[in-house]
Amino acid sequence: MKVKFLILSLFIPAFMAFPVNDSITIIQKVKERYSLSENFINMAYTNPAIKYYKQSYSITELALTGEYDTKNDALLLQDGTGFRRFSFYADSYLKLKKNTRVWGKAYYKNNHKEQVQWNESSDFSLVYPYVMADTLGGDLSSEEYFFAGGYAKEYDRFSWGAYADYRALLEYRQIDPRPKNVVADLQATLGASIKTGDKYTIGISVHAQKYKQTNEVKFFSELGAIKIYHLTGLGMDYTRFSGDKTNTYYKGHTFGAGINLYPHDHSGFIVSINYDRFSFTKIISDLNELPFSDLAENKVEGELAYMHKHNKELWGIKGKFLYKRRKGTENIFGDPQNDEYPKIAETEQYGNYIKDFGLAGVYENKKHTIFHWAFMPLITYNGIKTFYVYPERSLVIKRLNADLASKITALFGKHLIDLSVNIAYSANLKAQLLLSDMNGDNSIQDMLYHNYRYLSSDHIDLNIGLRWNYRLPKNRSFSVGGNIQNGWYTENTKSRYYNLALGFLF
Amino acid sequence: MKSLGNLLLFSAFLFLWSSCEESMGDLQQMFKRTQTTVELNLPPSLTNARLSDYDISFKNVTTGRITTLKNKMQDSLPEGLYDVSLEGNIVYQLDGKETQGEVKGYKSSVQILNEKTNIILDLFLHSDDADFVIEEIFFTGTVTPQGKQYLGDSYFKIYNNSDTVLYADGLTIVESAFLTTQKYEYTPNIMSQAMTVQAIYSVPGKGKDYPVEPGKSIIICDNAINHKIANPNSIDLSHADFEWYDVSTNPSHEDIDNPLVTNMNKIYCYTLTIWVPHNRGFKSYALARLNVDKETYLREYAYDYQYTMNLPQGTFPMSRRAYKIPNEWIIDAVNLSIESAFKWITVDSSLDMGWTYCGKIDKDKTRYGKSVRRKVLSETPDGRKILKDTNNSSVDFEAEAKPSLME
Repeated sequence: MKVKFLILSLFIPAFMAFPVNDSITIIQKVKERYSLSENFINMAYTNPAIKYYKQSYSITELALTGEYDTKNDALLLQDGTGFRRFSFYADSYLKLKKNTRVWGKAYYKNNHKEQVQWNESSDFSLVYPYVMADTLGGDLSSEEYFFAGGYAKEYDRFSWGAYADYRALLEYRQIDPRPKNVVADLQATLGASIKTGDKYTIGISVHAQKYKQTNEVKFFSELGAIKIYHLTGLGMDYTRFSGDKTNTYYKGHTFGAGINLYPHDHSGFIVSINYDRFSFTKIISDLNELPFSDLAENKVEGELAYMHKHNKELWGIKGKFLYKRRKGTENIFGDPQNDEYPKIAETEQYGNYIKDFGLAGVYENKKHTIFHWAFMPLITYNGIKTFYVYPERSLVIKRLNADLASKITALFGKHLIDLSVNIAYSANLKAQLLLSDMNGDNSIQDMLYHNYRYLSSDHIDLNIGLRWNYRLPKNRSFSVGGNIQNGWYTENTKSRYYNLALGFLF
Repeated sequence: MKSLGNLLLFSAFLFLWSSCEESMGDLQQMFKRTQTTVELNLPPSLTNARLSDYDISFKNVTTGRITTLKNKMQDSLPEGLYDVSLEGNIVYQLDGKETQGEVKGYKSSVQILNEKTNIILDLFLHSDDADFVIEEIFFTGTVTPQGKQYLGDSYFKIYNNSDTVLYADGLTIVESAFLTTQKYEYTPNIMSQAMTVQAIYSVPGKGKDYPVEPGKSIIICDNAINHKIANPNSIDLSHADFEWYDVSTNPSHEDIDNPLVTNMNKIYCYTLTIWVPHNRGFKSYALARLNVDKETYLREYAYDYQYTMNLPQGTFPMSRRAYKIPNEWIIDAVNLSIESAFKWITVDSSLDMGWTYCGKIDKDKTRYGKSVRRKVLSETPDGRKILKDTNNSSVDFEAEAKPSLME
């Protein structure tokens, strides 16, 4: 609880503080906030000292969102066949004084995932492959809380910033098998930057994370339970401890650093490179706190962009890369000696390499007095290589994705209407699944082949969004918006997603 | 722009670093394997013994994977914890003649680590002198139509596996005191001489009161009643040959006595209420002939042992008392366990070097209404079945079988 209060004390000032008055109308701010170019650059702002230069105006948004996602078949069984989500969201960026910025963010999400299979752990993308799983699965409900606060200050050529966030998640099911997972995720970043001349700022940042998830599965049926697996990657499970050891937890942390080059007038080269090392240990509480496995992930990502603003036009190009190397080590234990399992060896069995490269462009035209338009093409390459050393198994997936986002904005009187259309095509370039020693559990094999069908298929997504903002007195705004997204996959799988959001901005 | 150039240079360096990935071949090379050699100690009582044809199996406890070497004593194995077993043929001199026999060996929890590991395996001669065997154990109970557990319908089926009439008089069923799912360092360790037991029930009789024909069996059960009346999913045990009956000290847990079915002689049982075989299958059971009378047995065969429990709350030295059955009194033994919790076999490997099961995990809801049944090895020309008895329950028994009394 102390941690929660610490974080709350960081972000609450962002909502309570009185910003310096700026002359921009709320409708203009909203238009900026939701423009394609605003979200073209992401990485630089993970450094809180650089975030100081993000925008020259203050804005706060409160929103209520309802979302519904459904598929006629799960893409990845661990993700389920869809979800219903309700969320409340608050986000603020304030120019507190001439040289001080604060920002904060908070959300509450109430989520119901449908037909999640082969995963009873939360934060699958963080703790895979070492998840608990069973053949039954089912719907999962969750509540998630997030609080974040940031502060940045500038002194002449120098600026510094601090940012922290805290996420808490409770995920559960109320029929057997009954997982009850509690996540506490604390992250903090410190950054500093210095102006090298009239145009550029060089920044550095350090980042740390502390992560804990308790992952427990219970059975209330009088007749007993079903088998719980401790998966170790590519359909392998740790046979010795699979079965009924259902009380586990993950304990992890991250250390990272980043460097940035940023034009404080938002026009010119923007370069960001971040490095993070995340590691965790999975511990089985049922076996006297047995350290089951360790995982270490090294991640490097970078963005190199050039932005150009000229009167009522803006264009930019961007190259980006991500490289992630994830390695898992299984610990081997001797015969239990009086309830304690001595560790006798360890073996590095699991590896997962991810390589992503992307090239994007953005163009915005604001020449017309009422209609402004923009488009953003993006081409990305994703390479995933996953292996298990013994018995030898591997999965190689290579994809090429093309994405075109476009937006038309109409501003007339007190109204702002946004129409966005986004079409994405993802083509499979290579898919290879090699599995040896497949004499075991057929249901695990079915899961592997199901997921592989999705990973090796082409798909198209079409998203259409419409948003209406109305300017209220005292420079405030009310908004209503919604999106519909359809997805088509080559295995006759279709997905549909809807969202509806009500917002209040000031 | 010098800073931009430096950053681009740094990006290029990171990209090159990220390209340095190990290939699958490199990873296989890095995978730790141990050159493993097995040294065999042949049974010392045999003269001029030599092994002729044998299989050595290495079961990786961590992964469940089994590697079998045929007539070979060396291989490279992944590092880990293994159960090692051998089955083979042996030729030796007996009374001046060359004699053939079967030989076995078993060693559990062997650590195969580092570059080289030597394993010494003591072999013992397997005798297949036909006698009574445990044909079936039904211990899981059943489920009522309302979905509730139903106990009291467990039974042991004992089979005359010989070609002569055998007498069940004095035949004793025992349950191990130790769990196959929980292992401590019990001192003194007497497993090579005796089985530690906590429930002992004997067939009455003076020696030739209860003959059993070759190929016939007897049923020894908990409550010899027609359980179908109370639970249509259960079985009719009213025609069982024997039942065990306990005088309970707890009025809410009374036993049922069918006066038409002979009661077993209760030699000893740990419980003050009623004995029910472990319905999740965590114990070992054996068939024995006590070579002494009840009073002598209870006086001379007590076993006091100690062990230490290491818990997060602290270390607790424990002392317990049970009884012991010398290994040479035991006719047949069966270890029961479950895959997810198996720790060890609780009888000497010369009695049973394997284990069988109903259910794979603790409280497995699929285990009800299933039994373990001994496999049929062959059939004689007159139609008598010979059941498989290699002293290895893992291969001798059909696990999770349909109970014979439900057929």
